[in-house]
Parts: sequence; C-alpha cells; structure tokens
Amino acid sequence: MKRAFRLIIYPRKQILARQGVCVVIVYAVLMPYLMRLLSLNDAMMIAREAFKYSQLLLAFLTVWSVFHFFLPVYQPRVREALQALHHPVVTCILELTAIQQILCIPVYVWFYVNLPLYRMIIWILIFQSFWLSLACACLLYLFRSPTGIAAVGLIYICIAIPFAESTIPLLLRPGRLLDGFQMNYWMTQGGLLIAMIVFLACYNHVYRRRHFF
Amino acid sequence: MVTLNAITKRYGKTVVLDNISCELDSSTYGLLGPNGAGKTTLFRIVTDLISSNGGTVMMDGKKQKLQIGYLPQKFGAFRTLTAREQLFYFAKLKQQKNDGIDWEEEVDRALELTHLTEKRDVKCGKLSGGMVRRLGIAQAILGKPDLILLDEPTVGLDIEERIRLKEVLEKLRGQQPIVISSHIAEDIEATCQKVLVINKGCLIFSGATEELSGLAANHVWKMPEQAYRQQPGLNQIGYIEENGNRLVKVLCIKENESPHENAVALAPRLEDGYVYLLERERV
Repeated sequence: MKRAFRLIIYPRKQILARQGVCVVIVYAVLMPYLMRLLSLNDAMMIAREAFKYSQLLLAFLTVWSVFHFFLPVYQPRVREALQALHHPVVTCILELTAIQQILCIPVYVWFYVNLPLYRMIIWILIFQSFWLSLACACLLYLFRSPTGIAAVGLIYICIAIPFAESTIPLLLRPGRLLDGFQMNYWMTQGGLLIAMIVFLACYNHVYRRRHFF
Repeated sequence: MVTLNAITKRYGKTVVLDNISCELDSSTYGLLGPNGAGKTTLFRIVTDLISSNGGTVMMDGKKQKLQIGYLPQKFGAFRTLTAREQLFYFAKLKQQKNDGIDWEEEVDRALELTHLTEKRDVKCGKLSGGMVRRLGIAQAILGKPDLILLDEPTVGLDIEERIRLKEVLEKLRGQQPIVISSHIAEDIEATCQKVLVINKGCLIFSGATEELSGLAANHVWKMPEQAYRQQPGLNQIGYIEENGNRLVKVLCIKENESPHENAVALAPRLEDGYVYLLERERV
C-alpha cells in the first residue's frame, strides 16, 4: 500500500505544491478582485449564493480534488509508456480515471442545474465577449485591416464561443469546466483583465493620436 | 528468440493487420511501411496495449509474458521531475520482487548509454525534444527487457540528435531483439541489420537490409534531367548531383529496361529497394 501511494505521489510532488499555491492565490485574491469589477449588488448576490452553497461546493471540490490527484499520471504523452508496463497501480489509476470521466457528466449536469453559481459563468461570458471586442479593436489598431480583423473576430465569436465556451460542449468534455472552475478559468479571467488593461493603454494612445478607425 | 505468430487486427470490416508472422533474433530490425500501414498497431498489440483478433507472441517457443521496453511514437516526460527521477519512477514500476537487479545502477547505466549522464539532474521540462526522445529510449532499455520496440524514434529530431540516437542504437545492438519503426528508409539503413516491410497490414518483406536493397538491382537508373522531362510517365525517386550536373534517379519496374539511351544503372540503396517493393505491390 505504502509503495503504491509512493508511486502515485512521486511524479506529483512538485505539482501538488504549486497547484496548492495557485488555488490559494486564485481564491484569496483574484475572485474578490473580479467581484469588485461587478456592481456591488451583483457581487453581493454572488457572494451570498456562494456562501449559501459553500459547504456543498467545498465537499464537491474535495471529491474532485481527490480525483484530480490521479490525473497527471495520465498526461497523454506519458500515459502510453506507463500503460505498456502493465503495473497494477498504473492500471488501477487508469480504471479510476475512466470511472471519474463517467461520473463527471451527471455531476456537471447536477452542478449547473442546481447551483446558482452558474450565473458566474454568464458573467465570465460577458467578460470574454467584452474582451474579444476590445482585442479585435486592438488588432485593428495594430494591423489597420478592418475587414480581416472583423472577419477573425466574427468567426471567433460565432464559432468558437458557442462551441468551445458554452456549457453544453463542456458537459460533454469532462475535465474542462471544473478544472476551470477550480483554477484555470479564473486564471484565464486574470489574463483577460490584463488584456483589457493593455487595450485601455492602446486606446488612450490612439485617442490622443485621433486616427483610430 | 521472439516469435510473432499470425497477428491479426480488424476494426469492423477493415483489416489493419493481416496474419503477421515473423521471428526476431537478437538483431536490430527496421519496421518499414508507409503511413497507416499498421506499424504502430503492431507495436501496440505486441505490448498488449490493444487486443488482437488473433495471433500470439511467443518467447523461445513458449507463450509467456514478455518484458518489453517500449518507446511510443509520442513520448513525453513528467516536466517537474529530473531525468534521473523520471527513470527512477519507471524503474520502480518495472521492479519485481527478487529480480536481482540493482535499479540505481541500472538507471545510471541507461543514462550513460543514452548520453544523458550530464543532464541527470536537469528537469525534463528543460530538456530538448531530442533529449526527451533519448530519455524515452533510456526508459525502454531499463531492466534489460526481452524485446525493445521503438516507434519512430527519430521523428522530429535534427541531424545532430539523429546521429546521437544512432550511436545509442549501435550500443544496444546484439543484446536483445530491437524493432525500430520508421517510414524513413535512410534511418533504418544506418541502424538496422534486418528489415520488415508492412504495407496495407500485410508483411511483404522480411530479411537482411542488403536483400531489400538487392531487390531493386537493375531497376534503378540515373539520367539527365532534360531527358527525364522529355519522357513523361517515368517514376522519379530522387536527384543526384554529379560534377555540378543534376541527374534524375528513376525506378523502372521491368528489370534491365533502360529508360533512356543515356541512362546508367545505379547500385540500389535500401530506400530504392523499399520504393521498388511498394511499387511492385501497387502494380
């Protein structure tokens, strides 16, 4: 048992520490910051709802983290070489991952149907749309080709968002949304905020020049 | 001696591997075949990653579990572990009770064989693509397996790394059967003594590299580029630079049939034999 545990923990030792720090940063710093960007009422509403369901969420995140713990062994490029060894621990982890993937779909459905936190996703989408339009404007300024940039922007908004960002395909691709909910999604939002700041700097610069558009 | 006996794999009605049988002694084998011929599928069946629809893998005439060292086509490493830690992890997974192997020593031996001793304490995330590939070979040779399978070990590597890889393979030669899959005949010619050619799931050739080259004897010609352009329908297989002139290398399926009065027969290389074999199959 001890040996099996060591085999699981071994490739995770540094990742675990790093992930822990990231999660703390995201939850302690980024989320309140994001909430400040919303109106006070919205922030209060989300905070209230989050608090109301926090115990449930915490339990859910704990279960998820336990599963998440096993995932790195399955990084696609490492997986095949490990799998070929036919070691019982590796085989066991494989089976667990398969079970996790199957379990995830109903859990997602339940999560997003029952928890009011889904509203946050709407806010995220609003942020993203806003950022995308601003990013398009930046590109327009940089490359001076309105048609091309508008086409790229439209293609992205019309195709990528509905297919890649809406909750429906996320339900069909376990691992993505909850991953994001834990950390990556909020990190992405952080990136979007930085992009917005860059845009605003650009906008100011252009506005002074008075030949934007 | 490892024996593959009538390995067959079907996906629905598509036959991916059709009765592949061969015997592997302690030589280095090149497994050649075009993309989609079934090379990786064969490796996956031998390593028991996927099941076959028929056939067996035997060791010295007995059906037993083989210790296989396998380098998959796409090999990645745990980015946060050092090269040595990564190998140590694989060693732990390969370790068996009372196997009598000093695994610490074995890891160091694999690092030395693959010229990675200097990089042993470097994190895998910081290693170049070629080094990761060599690390993949190192994990495959750990514990002296009964059979080593290397799936496209040279893919995506620069010339320097390919030479290094060839040196590594040279050191491993003669200890156990090694099968190297590739669709680049040049790599196989430089490293292997024997060749297996798979096309559309069938084993169409098994023999020494010289035998495969020999198949194209009196079928390969060189001729001036201008003459080549005047004769459409010839099967061009490359160019040759000679005294500043550019000559075209052509393959004729019919033996001793000179494509042009100025054409000169060439001593065939492995690549020519391979192309000739595939062309002959196609015709």
